[in-house]
Amino acid sequence: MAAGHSPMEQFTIKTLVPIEFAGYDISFTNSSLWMLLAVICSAAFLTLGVKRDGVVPGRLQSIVEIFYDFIMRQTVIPVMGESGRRFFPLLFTFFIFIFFTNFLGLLPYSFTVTSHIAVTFAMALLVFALVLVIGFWTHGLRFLSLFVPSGVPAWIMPVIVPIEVISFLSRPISLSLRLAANMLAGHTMLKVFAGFVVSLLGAGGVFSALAIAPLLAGVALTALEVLVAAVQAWVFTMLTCIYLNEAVHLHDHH
Amino acid sequence: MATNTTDQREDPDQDRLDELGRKIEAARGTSPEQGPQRPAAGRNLAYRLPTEFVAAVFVGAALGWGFDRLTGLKPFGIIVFSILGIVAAFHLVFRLVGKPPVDKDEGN
Repeated sequence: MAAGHSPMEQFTIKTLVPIEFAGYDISFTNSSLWMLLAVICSAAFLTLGVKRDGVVPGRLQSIVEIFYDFIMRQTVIPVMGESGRRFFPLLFTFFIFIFFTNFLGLLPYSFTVTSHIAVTFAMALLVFALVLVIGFWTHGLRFLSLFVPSGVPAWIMPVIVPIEVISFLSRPISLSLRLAANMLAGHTMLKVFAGFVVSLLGAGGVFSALAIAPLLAGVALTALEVLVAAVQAWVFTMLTCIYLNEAVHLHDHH
Repeated sequence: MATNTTDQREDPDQDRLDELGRKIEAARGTSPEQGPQRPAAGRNLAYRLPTEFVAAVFVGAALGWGFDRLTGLKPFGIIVFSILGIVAAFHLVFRLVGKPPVDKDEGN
């Protein structure tokens, strides 16, 4: 790559197959391509993993079982209780999709789908809509009592209720922002440090010897990014869990 | 034929496996309820807090901007809603970190 390239260039959307439908641009882009690859990879991973269905799991099956266990027994059940089981398919889909898009994004020359807020916000809006639907479905208008904390004097309500509404509305924003910002920041940082290596080597003399420092930092950052990729996938799933739990159980946990 | 014989041979093992599965299930079912604060909780909070804060401030400002557009009360909506947004942000952060001691006495 040329030295003049911006570290943000990796996030540009490139149209691969231009498609237009009813005046909308629905082209197949590099983002669509990597989403599709993530879906194919996760489907292959899960179907191959459970294909043999052994009592004593093989290597791949063990990994699939760890994924299942991690989401079901260590996230969904502790947060939502047994009633969370019915949301497991959705939550696991979120987890595995984000996990694979994050990890595929770590490959050189690939594209990180989750670095775009359009993608993460679409997922967060789905969660938000689901929380509203489930909340009003199970509790009716009583769901609105979510904005009225118990044990607060009446005269303070005009202030508390808007604050609660704002913090409720901020959920899809923070949910999507967290994932996108983490991926964006991580990948930009990797590119910047990689750029340092190139420019130090190009500077020659003593500077070339110094190039080892950003290279080591880059290696360490890559390791960190692997952790972040997995953690952010889990954080998204866990928060979805918490929001859904609140919609199902309202104030029960207080 | 071959599968039949293996199935029959595995039958007693299957019972013991089911029994073991039930025991594991019982052990697992009780432990998470007893200790909701797991060691990962702190790190989890560290990942959550900054964006929660920013998002609440942003939503407050955006609501104020929209309010101004709708009502024509140009500067006041964004001022009031931004303040509410900032208060909501602190409220969120305090709720996540744990209620301040004063709140604890009044609540419950």
